[in-house]
Amino acid sequence: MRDWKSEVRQRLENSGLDASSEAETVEELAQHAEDRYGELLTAGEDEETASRIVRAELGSMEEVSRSRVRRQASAPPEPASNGVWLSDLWRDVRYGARSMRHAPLYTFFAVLTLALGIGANTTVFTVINTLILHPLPVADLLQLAVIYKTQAKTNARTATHLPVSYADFTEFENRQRSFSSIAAYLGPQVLSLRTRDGYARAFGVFVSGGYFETLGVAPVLGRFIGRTDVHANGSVPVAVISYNAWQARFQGADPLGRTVVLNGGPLTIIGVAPKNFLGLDVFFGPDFWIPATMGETILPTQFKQALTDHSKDMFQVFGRLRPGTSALSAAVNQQYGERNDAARVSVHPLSDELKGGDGGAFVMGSVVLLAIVGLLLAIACANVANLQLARGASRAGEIAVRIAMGARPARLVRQLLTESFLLSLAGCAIGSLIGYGGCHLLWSFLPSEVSANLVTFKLDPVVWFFTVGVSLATVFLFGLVPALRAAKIDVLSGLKQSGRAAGRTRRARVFTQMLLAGQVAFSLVCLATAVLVFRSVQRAYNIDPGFNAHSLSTYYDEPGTNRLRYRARQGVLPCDPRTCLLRTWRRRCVLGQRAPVLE
Amino acid sequence: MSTAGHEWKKGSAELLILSLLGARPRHGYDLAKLIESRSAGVLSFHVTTLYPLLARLEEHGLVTGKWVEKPEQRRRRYYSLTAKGRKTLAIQRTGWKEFVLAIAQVMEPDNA
Repeated sequence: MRDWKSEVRQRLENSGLDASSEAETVEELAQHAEDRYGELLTAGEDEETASRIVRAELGSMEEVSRSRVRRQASAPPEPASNGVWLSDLWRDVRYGARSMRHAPLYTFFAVLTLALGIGANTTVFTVINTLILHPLPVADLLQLAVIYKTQAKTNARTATHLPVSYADFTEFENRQRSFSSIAAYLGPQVLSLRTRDGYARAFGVFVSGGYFETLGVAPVLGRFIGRTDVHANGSVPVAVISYNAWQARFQGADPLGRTVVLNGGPLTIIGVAPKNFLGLDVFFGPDFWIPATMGETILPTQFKQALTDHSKDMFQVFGRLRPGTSALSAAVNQQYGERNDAARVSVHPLSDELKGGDGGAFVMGSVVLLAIVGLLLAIACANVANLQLARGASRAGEIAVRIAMGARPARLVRQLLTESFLLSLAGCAIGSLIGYGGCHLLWSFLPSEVSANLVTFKLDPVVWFFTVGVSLATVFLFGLVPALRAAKIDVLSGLKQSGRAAGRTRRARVFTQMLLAGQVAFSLVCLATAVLVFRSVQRAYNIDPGFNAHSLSTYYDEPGTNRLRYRARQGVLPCDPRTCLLRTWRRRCVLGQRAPVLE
Repeated sequence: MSTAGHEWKKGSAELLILSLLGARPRHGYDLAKLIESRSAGVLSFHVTTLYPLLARLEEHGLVTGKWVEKPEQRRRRYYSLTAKGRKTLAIQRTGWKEFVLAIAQVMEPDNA
């Protein structure tokens, strides 16, 4: 096959066309010559004759050159492809994948760097999404408000938030008009649950009759505790079991009508709470919800006269505001009425309280954490951008050839951005796995014995949108500038040098130095933050408790697990636990138990 | 090509190209082959005449050329009519028909 391109190029020498137009003209006319040559051969001409005829038809090409120069001057260059957009994109993707395969080391480090940055962001955002953005699976969270008792003559900012007595709550419940319903509860209490093998620790929340109705949740099975279940002491021994406890204790079998014995008191299970429902705590939930009127049966000491004595402030109160009303403390105070202790109440939106009170301390902490991992991602992007710039310089020859062949700068930028997108996509996939693993790692630091009571992180569509969004942002953060720089390469110097110095203009070097400086600056910020956090934790360990803690030990154990006896056998405890308590008292050893020993 | 053919081509080349592109976009070699085959070899366009003409038509905004890549084929530059080119083609077609009719009438033996 003859090289018609060289033939045409020779005839177009000094045509005045720019490199791109000349490359297009050579390609188009060489194709014509090749087709014509093939046609003549098919018609029976020998190669030499066919070649001579085609050469003669090509002529001097002066007119072709002139017309093309005129067209070039009158119109902007046409795009290199009309492109069925999708097929072009698919071609770019395949080309990008090939070029990534040809540079495995570069691809490995770029993807790993991005994956670490994206993974850290996904981990932190998953926690924020679970605890702040979607804290409670209840109906219309913004309509819920908490009611605290405050000391008289204190303003809302400085007031100490105190719980309310059950007696005050019932009087207030009958008198109030600002809420469509209100409820009271006593947060998770440690209880002993009788099992086949002995006893296990469980957590129970004691609630008033309107608790579930006010929250607006629906049970997975059975029914919730209602107002008829909470009217006289010990009259209705029922309980609602949490979803996790149901799965753990009954392995998903129908629990309705079954009896559980908590602190020696038998309770009939009437319903199962929804999955991920932890009550009014975003982090820790109970195993059982029990009517407040069963308190004296289950926790007799703690609940002695707790439902009738106005001085026993131990219940948290919350309510659902009537539509159109706001959480106005003044109006609620009127309804609360004058007390002997001159106490007042304050009303706060529940959504604010879940975020750490008026100051939103929890939100602030999360924002700081997100900013830090954001910096980490910025460092990762700067790193990859530097790698891209270095690679762009080494690909100068390839890019120069593509420009000479007629590739427009926009087309080159698109191609290079597609490669960045592929890197980012791989980083996103691995980063998601790292994020998921990061969440598990975070949760693994929490005590395993209460894992069923803890919030489970949600990898929901919001998290996926965030991860994909962050990944797309990284494409532009690390890919755009190197792509723009590469597309501006000088064709001649690119073709001649085809190496390291090509494309490394002064501006490119300045940009590289800026990236490096940015990386160092961001790294310093991260390092300083890490040191500060580390020092804070170190100081927290060194806080003086006010007594000599050197010769003191603390032991926690669960009733019925025989762990104390095991520890005694292992020599961790000096004796049998029953006698240990007395003996170690003399040795200044404190033995603590989280649950009361029963029977 | 005969001298007559060469002379006629000079006046009608633009119309020929526009007419062929009126049906669908074509590349340069396709245009040259079509003209040659449809005119039974009387008219023929080579590189030195066809491509300057296409460039001129592009310059005047009557046609536009774009590179098209098709699966399993090398990319080629296809030319198609612009809106302005379609209007021009319609005008030139009408003018050409009137011209041919006028010539034919003049050349009728009775009128000669």
